[in-house]
Amino acid sequence: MIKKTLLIVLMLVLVLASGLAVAQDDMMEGKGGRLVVADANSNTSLDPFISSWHSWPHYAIYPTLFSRALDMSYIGFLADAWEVSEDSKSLTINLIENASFTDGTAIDAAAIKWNLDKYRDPETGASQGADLIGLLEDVEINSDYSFTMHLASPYAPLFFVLSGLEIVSPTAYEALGPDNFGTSPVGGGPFMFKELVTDNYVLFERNPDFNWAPPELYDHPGPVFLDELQILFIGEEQTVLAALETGEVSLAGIPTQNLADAQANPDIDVDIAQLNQIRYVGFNTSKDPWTNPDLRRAFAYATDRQEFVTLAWEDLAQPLYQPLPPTIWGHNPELDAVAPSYDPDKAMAMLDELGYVDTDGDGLREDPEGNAWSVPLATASPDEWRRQAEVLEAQWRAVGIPLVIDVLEFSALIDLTTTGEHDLFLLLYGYSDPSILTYFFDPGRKGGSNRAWFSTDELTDLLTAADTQLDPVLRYEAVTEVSKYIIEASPWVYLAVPPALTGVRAELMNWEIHPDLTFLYWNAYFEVE
Amino acid sequence: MNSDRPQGLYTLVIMKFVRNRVALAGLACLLIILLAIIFAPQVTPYDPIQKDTPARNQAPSLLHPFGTDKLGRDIMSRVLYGGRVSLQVGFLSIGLAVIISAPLGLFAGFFGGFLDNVIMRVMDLILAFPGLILAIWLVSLLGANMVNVIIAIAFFSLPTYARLIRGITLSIREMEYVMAARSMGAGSARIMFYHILPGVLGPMIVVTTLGVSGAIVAGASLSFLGLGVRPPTPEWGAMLADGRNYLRTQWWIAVFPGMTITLVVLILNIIGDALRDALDPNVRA
Amino acid sequence: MSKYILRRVLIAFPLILAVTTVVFFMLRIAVPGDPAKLMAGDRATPELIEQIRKNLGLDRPLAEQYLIFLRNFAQGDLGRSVKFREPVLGVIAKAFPFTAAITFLSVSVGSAIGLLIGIITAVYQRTWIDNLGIVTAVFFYSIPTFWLGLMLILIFAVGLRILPVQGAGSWRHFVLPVATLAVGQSALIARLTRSSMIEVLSTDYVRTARAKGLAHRRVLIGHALKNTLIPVITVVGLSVGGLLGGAVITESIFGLPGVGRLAIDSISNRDYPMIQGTVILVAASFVFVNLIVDIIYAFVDPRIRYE
Repeated sequence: MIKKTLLIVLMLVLVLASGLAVAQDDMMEGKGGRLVVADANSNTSLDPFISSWHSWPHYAIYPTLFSRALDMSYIGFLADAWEVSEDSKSLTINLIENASFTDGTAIDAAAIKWNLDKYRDPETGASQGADLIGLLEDVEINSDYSFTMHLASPYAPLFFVLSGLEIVSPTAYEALGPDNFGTSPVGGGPFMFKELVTDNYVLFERNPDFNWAPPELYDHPGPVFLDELQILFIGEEQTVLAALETGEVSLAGIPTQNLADAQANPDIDVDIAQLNQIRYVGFNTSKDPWTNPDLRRAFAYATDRQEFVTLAWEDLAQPLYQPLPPTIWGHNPELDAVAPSYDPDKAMAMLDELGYVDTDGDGLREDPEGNAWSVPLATASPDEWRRQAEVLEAQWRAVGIPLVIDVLEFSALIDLTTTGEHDLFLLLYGYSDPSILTYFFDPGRKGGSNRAWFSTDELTDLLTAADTQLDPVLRYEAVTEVSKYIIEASPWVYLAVPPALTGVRAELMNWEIHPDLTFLYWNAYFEVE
Repeated sequence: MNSDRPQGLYTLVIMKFVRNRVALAGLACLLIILLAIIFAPQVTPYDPIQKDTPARNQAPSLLHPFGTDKLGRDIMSRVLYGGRVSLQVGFLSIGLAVIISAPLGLFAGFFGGFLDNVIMRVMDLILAFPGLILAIWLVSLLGANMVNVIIAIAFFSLPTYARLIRGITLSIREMEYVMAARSMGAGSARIMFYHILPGVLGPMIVVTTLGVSGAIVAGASLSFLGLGVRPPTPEWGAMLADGRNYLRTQWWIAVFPGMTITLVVLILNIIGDALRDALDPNVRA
Repeated sequence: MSKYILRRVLIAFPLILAVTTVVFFMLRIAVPGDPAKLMAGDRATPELIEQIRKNLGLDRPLAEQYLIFLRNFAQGDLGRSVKFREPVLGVIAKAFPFTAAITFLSVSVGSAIGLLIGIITAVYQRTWIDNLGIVTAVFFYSIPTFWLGLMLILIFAVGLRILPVQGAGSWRHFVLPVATLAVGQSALIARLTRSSMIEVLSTDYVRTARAKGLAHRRVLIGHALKNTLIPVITVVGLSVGGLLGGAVITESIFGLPGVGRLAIDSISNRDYPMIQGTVILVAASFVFVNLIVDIIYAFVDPRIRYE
């Protein structure tokens, strides 16, 4: 009797299970295909402890503790629940319990601790872990799926940082070592590694076990519909465009000048957004005469951003007057009113007052001693950069500033800015959190990312205040103070926010582009037989 | 007899050249282009550097025969002014390369042995050396100016010409008439100058005339590394390269400088051929 | 002859060593740029940069770094890429066949076509055939590679949809890159052959041969062509060498994973071991190709002897 009941129960369970399996199959039915992405920028090591950024290939294979919802708020990915202590110096995280790495090992508290410890170890030299060095003091394991992070001080960008730190399989990393992990990486993301041809492409296949997609972002927990994801590293924009037109590539950036063509093409859907990036001119404020803020401000008044975006981006970019673009949280539109905007008369008056006057009547100003003046601007070599430098040269020449453009190969340009010997430089940055400003104006980063060599005690205090303020409303105010100070001091001339033009093949269904510009392919699929 | 031979030879060469109508037309064209470049400020009303926002991205028209670029600058003006830099780079760099490599190749091919080995292995070294690294180094050392561009291009062209001249020298050295001259007691210098050099000239003219266009385009690659004229100064090679991403949308940005280069090279080839024929005593006028 | 070859091969080693040594020290001393600064990214502290330098072994004295390089090189180990941590030899071994294939195919196809056109234009000297030949050759020669490549993509891949835009999966992927390179090659060879041929055709011994009543074709093939070949072979050899190291533009335009692209990318990343590896490969190819050219000289013209 008991046996019989057991048998019935067992049968019921089997039927239910197969029914569930059918439901799962139904959902996947007719969906699949290989998504081919062309991306010139992602060509970096697949080992997150070596690579300096979080890029396409990385977010395909590695999960993170947190992610961002469409409203840009932080949501759990591997984290299920979390709590910040009262003194804001510890964060306790409970993990979801069904996640595993693709080598079969569990993504548990011990695995996360291993990752965090490796990121925060200065000897790892991990650029992505740079924030945790000196900040994260200890990771304490509470139970199999719960741990607490202890910080040296409260840190507002913590969730941002944790949503970018890729979690690798410690077992696999220990076995392979830093020399081999990058060529056979093991993570626990929606895809798993299949093939890498260095400097050419990387191919991933669906992780069949993946069912821990954050529900706030995706209508089903996984696995993803796509069979494969291939990322091609091609730089030539016209080649990429042609490949998108023929369907060899399904997702790629569209060059500004080809936007109209792409929009007219029925096979291509175009998404237009603004990048979370800015272009700016930096001054080396440690070198005379750029130590003088009035001189720097005169350059800001001489810059017509509206014309700049017209000439450099066919009006698709947005003029920018402050250090944070609208695409980064913390941007305060009210600051534009107090920031220097195009006013050539004022620029000329300021230069006159500083002693830079045109004494020989050639239309270009001489320096205060009456000697020939020349203002070197270092820029990178791609034609887009050269054109931007040419626009600046023309605008500044109009008020008598004799700009001399030095075209440098990119590595040489970066190297130059760490020497402190440079003058002006045209560069960009891209990020998603206002704490980026700390990297650019930290006294300890001169010779590193503080390329303007600019810092004051006051600014350092303001930056610290902003980075340690966890309350969003108060942090916003603190970031506004930082921006206001930087605008006033003018170590940079802010130029523009470039456009993000993405072309997607019409055959690809159900895709979405996140406000932070990541491409949400988890629900995306091609219709297959 | 011997003393008036050179004059007779030159007269003959000039007469043969003048009778070649195509070559004369080419020469006239080249002169017109050169004059237009020299008198660019009189030929075109537009400034090659000054931006003109409302006029940007215009297709060729009566007002702007070659159209305007991204900054609204007249492309014809930029082509004319750019010719000043590009032609100097093209001619001077190849000229310099030929002047240095000709004796190297001649000596290597003629004398052979140890000298040949030393010269040609040094040439191998230059050939095998990554030009890009050298260029980046030169920029950091010398900065950007035209003289450095000329030196860099000449340097990398050396092995090509040296090897070519050596190869031809090798084969002419063994020819019967050279053997004959030698057996009649002609000295090495005489043989090299009177017998081998003329034989080398024909293929050299072809390779150098094509080399000039190569040098103009190479100037563009160097300008991308910072070893070149600074923007916004116009230069053909850089205009050509900058325009490549606009071939589908604003084709005129790259096509006109490109066509100018082609035209100049074509003319140079025609003149070069005529010159070669004129110098060849076997070709009748 | 075999002694000559052996000597040339032996000379090759010091040459390659000389090139790599110069590159080694130039990169570290004279050329601005530092892989650690690039890898540290936008969060770079001087300490982080120093740590990365240390992890890469770049903090050691130059002499020590050089000795380590020499020791590994002697054992056939070119080290690991700074950026990807992958063994340099493996990456280059994967990339080289693509470059070798397009180089070999484009030079042979281009030279064959060029020779044919060169001979025809020389024989029909100063006729409309000749003029057409010159203009066409010069026109194609002066079309920049990136234009031609892009035009071919637009016509054959985007327009007619008969060939792929990019990649390296099948023979179809090689058609456009090879065509792009072959066009310039054939133009150069055609002009050179024509000039050289005219030179030879007008020399005494060809006239003698003709006067002796040898058939026109026999004279062309037997006497003239043989002597025409010397400069042509030199230039073919140079272009093989040049392409092996420099098919960069073609490889970038067609997304071919070859050595040229690898070399450029590694230079922009200051990936020292990878740069070193490509330099060694390119130097070795030059030496090899030049050796072959010199040997061919001797075959084409047996009067050229090598002591």
